[in-house]
Amino acid sequence: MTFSEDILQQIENYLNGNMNAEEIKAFEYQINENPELSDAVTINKKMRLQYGVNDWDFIKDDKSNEKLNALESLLKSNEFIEKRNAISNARDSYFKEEEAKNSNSNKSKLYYALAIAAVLVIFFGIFLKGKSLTNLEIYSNYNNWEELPSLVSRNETNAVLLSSGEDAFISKNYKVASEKFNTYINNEDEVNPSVLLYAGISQLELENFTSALDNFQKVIESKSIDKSKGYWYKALAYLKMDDRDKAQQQLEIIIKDTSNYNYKKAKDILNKIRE
Amino acid sequence: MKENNIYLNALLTSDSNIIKEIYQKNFINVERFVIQNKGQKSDAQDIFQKALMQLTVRYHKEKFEIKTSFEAYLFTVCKNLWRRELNKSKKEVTIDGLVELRTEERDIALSSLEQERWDFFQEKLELVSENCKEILKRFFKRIAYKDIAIELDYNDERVVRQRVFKCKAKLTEIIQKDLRFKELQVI
Repeated sequence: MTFSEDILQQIENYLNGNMNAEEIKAFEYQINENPELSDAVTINKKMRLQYGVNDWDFIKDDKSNEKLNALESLLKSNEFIEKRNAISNARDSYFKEEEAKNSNSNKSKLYYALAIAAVLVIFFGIFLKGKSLTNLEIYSNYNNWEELPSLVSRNETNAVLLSSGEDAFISKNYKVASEKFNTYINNEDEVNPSVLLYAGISQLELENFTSALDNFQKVIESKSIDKSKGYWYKALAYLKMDDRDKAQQQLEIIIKDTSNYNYKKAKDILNKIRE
Repeated sequence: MKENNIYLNALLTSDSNIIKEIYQKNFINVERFVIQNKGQKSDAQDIFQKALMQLTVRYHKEKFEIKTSFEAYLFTVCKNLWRRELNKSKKEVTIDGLVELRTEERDIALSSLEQERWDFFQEKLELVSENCKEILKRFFKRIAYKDIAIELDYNDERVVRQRVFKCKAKLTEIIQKDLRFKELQVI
């Protein structure tokens, strides 16, 4: 299959969009008539997508694509849950360490700043009056998990996982709780947001912040009437992470709509923060 | 070569300690890449995890060998996943209102097949002559013929154009000769 340079150039022009309507019509007629030309155009198009740097060559999400279906079921299988958890655990542990490193360096900066402040206070003979609440203080005023709805009454096949998860949660055994909830979540196509909250809070208690935030985000993205709870728990997570700006962002979202979960509490906290 | 298998096996056997090592060695580079390309740290975290899931499921399905280093390949997979994400949002904007809802598992399965197809095409590009490879890489990056001529020291753009046609024909032939191409073309 060899083409004249003229035809090759036409293929280029066609794919570059450098043809006028008439030329396109004529060229497409040729493509229809000549299967070899049609192949050449197809493969040239493919090469551009594959070797280009900007586009991406997506595969069609075809329900009858067996290879695709096989990979999907493998990913959803029980044996894969363990693998997924191992990756999540490694991730959480890595980011926890990174965070600790960062906060240590922030802490030393903070000590340095405090030392300067102390010197200034003494120097000017100023005494600070009153004090504003720290992020953790705010967090511990509101980390009341008793307001979570019980999962036990749910009539489901994997109800055992939920009730044992909830038991572990209540007895503050968050590691076990989070394992049970994760297994449940990975097994279900649709997960009730309350379960995501339990899973997220367990992670929060274990200080696996990334996973915790992931779960709360999923609550926000759910279509449930409870989705605004996601913002509330995200705010708490950020407070615990000592990230006031991000916590504030979540609270600001909550106070946009009075029907949002903990609207009043969010307002109270914001008032305290802004004092 | 052996090291590549250590990491792939760790993914397969759920060895969190070694997987954590993968994070320690590679995450920062991926994060830097994503942030330099319109992304955030959280995007990088997401991409990195998806890449590991992809490698796990592919290796589980069928053992494969990484021809470069594990680090380099993981970085390529992450880069492609990020490119894919960026193009996904483009796609969603154009077919407005028709955002496809699919599970994360389905999406990872799709990305796995796409990555395998991408690998196939890269493998084929490695088979043309060094000179062709250099010229084609630039051509597909849409660098103008006259700039390719300057960069690769050709007399003028006409010569470059002829070289591009020749090299492309060679590459096309190599691709079509491989029986896998038919299979890959369907999807």
